[in-house]
Amino acid sequence: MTDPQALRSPETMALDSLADCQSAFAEFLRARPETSAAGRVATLVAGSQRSVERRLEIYRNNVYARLISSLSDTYPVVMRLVGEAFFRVAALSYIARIFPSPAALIDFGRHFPEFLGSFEPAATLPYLGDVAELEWLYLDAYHAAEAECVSPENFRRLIAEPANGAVRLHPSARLMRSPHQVSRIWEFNMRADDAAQRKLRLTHGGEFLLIIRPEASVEVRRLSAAAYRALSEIDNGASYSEALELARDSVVCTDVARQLESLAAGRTFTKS
Amino acid sequence: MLAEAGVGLKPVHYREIFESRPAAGFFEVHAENYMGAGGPPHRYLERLAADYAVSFHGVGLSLAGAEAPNVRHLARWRALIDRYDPMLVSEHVAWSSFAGESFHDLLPVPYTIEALDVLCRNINQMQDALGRRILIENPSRYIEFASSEIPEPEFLSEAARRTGCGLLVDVNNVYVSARNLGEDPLKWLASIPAQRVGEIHLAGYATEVIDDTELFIDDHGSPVCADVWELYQRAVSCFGPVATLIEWDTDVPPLQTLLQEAAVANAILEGASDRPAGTAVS
Repeated sequence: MTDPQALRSPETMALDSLADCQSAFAEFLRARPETSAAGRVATLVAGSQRSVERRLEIYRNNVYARLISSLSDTYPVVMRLVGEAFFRVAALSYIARIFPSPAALIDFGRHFPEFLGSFEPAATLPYLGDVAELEWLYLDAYHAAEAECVSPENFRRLIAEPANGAVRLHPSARLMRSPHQVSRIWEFNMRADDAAQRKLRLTHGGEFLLIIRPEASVEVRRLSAAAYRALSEIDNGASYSEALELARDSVVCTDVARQLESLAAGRTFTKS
Repeated sequence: MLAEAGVGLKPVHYREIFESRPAAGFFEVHAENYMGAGGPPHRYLERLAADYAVSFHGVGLSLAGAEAPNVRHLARWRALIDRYDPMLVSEHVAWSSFAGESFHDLLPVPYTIEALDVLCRNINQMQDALGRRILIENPSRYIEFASSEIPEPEFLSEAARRTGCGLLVDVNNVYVSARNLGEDPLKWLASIPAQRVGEIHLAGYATEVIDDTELFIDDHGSPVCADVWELYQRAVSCFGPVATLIEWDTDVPPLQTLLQEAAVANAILEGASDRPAGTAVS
């Protein structure tokens, strides 16, 4: 860390190009709000030192407020689980590690689930990272491309064709598995009523999930292990019959074909 | 060119607007919020764009940045232009990205000859990439760089003259910056060439007292203040009737509140004489 006094030395006062000015401003913004002096950017601004530093702080507060609210908009359940103060600490730590790259704010929270998964102060909530991942996939599915799903009749016709490769997952489909019951935790906390009045009863075991937006709203569907495996194989390019075979081989399950048909009825597949 | 008031299009109002089809001069969106591939934002915007004029307002290109505009961001912009053919396209005279990092704020630049050259280079790149003319907006300012040598309205007008772009005059920002930096907002308006003005923005501000000095902060989260309405009237008499947006981005109120603010702007626009002779906008 550079000595703040050194930053005001005569050599650094002579910053006059636009790039130097923006570099000094960026250095100031990267430091957490109210934790450090304004540094060399303050030397470039007209006015008394105290007034300049307070005014510069407005910009820095705006930057952090916008980044934190972008995260809390994307991760409302994580926020509810940990509370606002803890969320802010986690968000500041995330921002310090991954300063957003240009240019869409939508992408800024992409690595937050992974970050939370290894965020030491959150270690007592082992499911937190997975809840965050579900929230990220929800947003990702929300903004994904549109496509027409095949009807259940067409689905049956397509899989009966000799080539049998003619179905794909809808472009908004996202698959996720977790050793925790993340969708139940998520649903419970998404409800607007007061969670303190209710109790969430979790059973043992993890979840296999499909997050998808075939029409206007995002759906979170719980899958069997076999259906999850089959959809993952289709997602990786396997034909329907190959996917079915692989799912049957890997998991004890008798009715995976019927499960996929019921997913098709709920609009999941497109024609390739 | 529509000389009517419009409002920002917010996701919480999608359904209500789609069902009630209110009278509105146009809807404006932040371009960056529509850079995803699909989903409800595009579903609603496509339906609304069939019946209303749409304006795209950028907040993330870093138009006044020392670095050239991000080529991928320009490509996403171009895809939006091709998809919606908006009535207006605008960006801010501010920077937000530097050396691979983006601060997602509209940060000020010193008004120097160098910054003017860089801004013009970037405007030209944006206009070339989009294949159309853009409007550039004056930012809200809380500081003045010691190296600034050109008054803001001259800086903006010269950029417009050199690149052929138009101006988006944010009257709230004119007011807020003038109060913060001890400038004269009427002189500011008088220094802007009327024929270049393609849009006006109106928004609310908040105040904060710092060391006995009252600072005015552009908050986009409250009604337009009385003194800004007054300045807007002066702006309309300087520039003639110009498409005007009510901006309200945080603590978004009911749609009716936005439409009522737009109605106030419309009453002022209707009372204005036509654009001064010989200054028709292309």
